[in-house]
Amino acid sequence: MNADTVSLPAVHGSKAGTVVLSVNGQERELRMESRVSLLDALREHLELTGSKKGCDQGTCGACTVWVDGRRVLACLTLAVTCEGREVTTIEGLSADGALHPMQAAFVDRDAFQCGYCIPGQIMSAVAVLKEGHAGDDAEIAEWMSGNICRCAAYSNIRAAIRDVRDAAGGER
Amino acid sequence: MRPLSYARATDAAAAIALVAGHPEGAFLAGGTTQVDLTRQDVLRPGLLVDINDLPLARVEDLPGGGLRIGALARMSDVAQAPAVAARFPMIS
Repeated sequence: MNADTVSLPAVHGSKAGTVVLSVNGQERELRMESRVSLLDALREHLELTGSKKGCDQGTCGACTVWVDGRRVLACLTLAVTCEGREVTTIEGLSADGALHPMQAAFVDRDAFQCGYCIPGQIMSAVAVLKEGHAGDDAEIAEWMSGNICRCAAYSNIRAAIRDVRDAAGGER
Repeated sequence: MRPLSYARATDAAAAIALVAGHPEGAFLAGGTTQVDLTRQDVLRPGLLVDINDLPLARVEDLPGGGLRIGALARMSDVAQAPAVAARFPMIS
């Protein structure tokens, strides 16, 4: 291939540059290096500390957020790759301080002990219902398997998801 | 993680040209392995070329019974694909 005939996109250099992120419906302009993860951008630059850093290697799911409505691991996503996409964190799940039905169900079912993994669990739980992957407990367990809870609150987490599923009249 | 540069490719030819034109160029798809191993200093890309805007997320049947899995097909999508579940259950 002759590279001269190809129109190349702009390269962000290795120094800090401007990155514009849309997070929970708000545009935020940041100065950061390309190597910064979405998780660090949220927690360290935007002070949105709901998304948790458990393992920082994509194993535990505590950092689960949505990018363009799809759940992703913020620790393995570079922030710069989210320019032009919509990022939703646990802070943006509901408006005006009201609990999202899934948050309320987690409280009702006491679906946690220490709570550290719960922001990620809830972002995945809402996504699992939207994806149509909550038909029975085995399916819920499979599609929630990327979110580890070392307190092992799994049975109550599944109960919370069932409650929201059933209150909504089945899978959505 | 070492400093690195970043570009988002709008077509395959540009992505290939960018990676080929940089001594430490690498593609960035889902990032599960690339970002993790870069952070651990196992991989040392100087330029990551993001291919997430390219139409490479499909799982396609090939003549002869094979499959072509796009570089952007998420593992959960591959696992769910009917052809994978039916004919290649080991990766489902």
